[in-house]
Amino acid sequence: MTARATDTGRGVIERFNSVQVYVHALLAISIFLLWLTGLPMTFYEPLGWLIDLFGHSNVVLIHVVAGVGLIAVMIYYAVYMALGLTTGNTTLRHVMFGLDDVREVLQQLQWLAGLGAEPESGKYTFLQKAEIWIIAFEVGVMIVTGLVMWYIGVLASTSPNLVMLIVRDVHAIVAVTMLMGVTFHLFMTHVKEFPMDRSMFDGTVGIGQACREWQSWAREEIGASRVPCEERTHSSVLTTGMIVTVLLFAIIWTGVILQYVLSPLPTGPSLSQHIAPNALPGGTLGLVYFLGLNLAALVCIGSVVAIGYGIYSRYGRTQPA
Amino acid sequence: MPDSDTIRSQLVEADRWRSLTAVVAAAIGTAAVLVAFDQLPEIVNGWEPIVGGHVTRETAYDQFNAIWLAVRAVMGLYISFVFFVIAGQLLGHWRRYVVEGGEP
Repeated sequence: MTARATDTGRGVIERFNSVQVYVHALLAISIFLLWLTGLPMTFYEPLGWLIDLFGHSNVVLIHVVAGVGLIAVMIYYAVYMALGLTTGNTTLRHVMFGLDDVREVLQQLQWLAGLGAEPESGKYTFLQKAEIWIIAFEVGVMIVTGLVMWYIGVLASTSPNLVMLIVRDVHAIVAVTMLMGVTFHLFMTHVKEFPMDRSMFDGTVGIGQACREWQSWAREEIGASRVPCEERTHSSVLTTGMIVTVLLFAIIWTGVILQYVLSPLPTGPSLSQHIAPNALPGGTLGLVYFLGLNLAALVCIGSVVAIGYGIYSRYGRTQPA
Repeated sequence: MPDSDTIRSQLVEADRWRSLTAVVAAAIGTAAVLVAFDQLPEIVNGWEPIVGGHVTRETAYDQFNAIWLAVRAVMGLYISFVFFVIAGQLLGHWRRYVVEGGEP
């Protein structure tokens, strides 16, 4: 730590180690590849071009390979964290929920209602902790349902069978729920620092930003009671992006509800056949779904490119000149 | 890269031995998971229709459909819950930023 770093707020705090940076990148790339190949299987009509792009015979293969990669990365990080527990060198305590999070939730609601100050948080806000655990849970569900379908389901020589149709629905709905959660994470964590927060690549965060976002953690790391915070500035890009993101989520959410929850089962009955036909609506409303789902696909493609660029930049900086 | 203005956290040290052990465990673990699933018997084939109107002799389509619709209802509630939480957060943040930015 240097005097300059703490006094001016221009220094940075190491937030993630190299393992966390690369695990994050590998997890993200495998998940985005799973969506890019899985979404066109779920919403074929608006996203059929992705199947053409990958090739009909390759889509399932890429999906399976990305899934196996996801399993390997999850096991790797689980073992890495478990070994850290045995030596006491772990950051697990930062992601565990506690009473402080209950307090933070209440303060957050008061702040959103304009009745109090924005809460201070530790290394992760309660929302970020929730994102981590929800995504871990959803990845677990995706892995189990994906493996079941791969080995004894839709890809087996004896398929399709009826139970697999239920598993397929669970797989698809959880995947799309996860897409919303990860897009929320992308926006609130990575894009909010427009155009892109680079901490996921270089592992560091500016002191000013750390103070603004995770003030308790910043104080703990710096070892000072007073930390120079960045002032939040109003950004039209940010506030407009928030509204666009909500609208995108609404399109994806209603699309799944119509096609995978309310539509008639292949065997006949439905929760509400009058509301949801067998496919997404056509006409003007169909155009909204077409644009919304394709925007989601473009977010996935853009994210893969951004991660590739970020990791390439990090790798370039580590090479001797 | 860390420099004089970088505050290094003790808790984010990356141990090489931990990483190498985890790589080996991931390779073995992934292979074990795939082999384990490959051993699963294709018991679900018993659900395929063998008699008109039935999934098996013991399980009617009605029962199967009821389970399927219940699963869909639960999953629909789950995705709706997630949607309303994140939409509420985004709209709340949007409103606060607009207010703090001095706009009406």
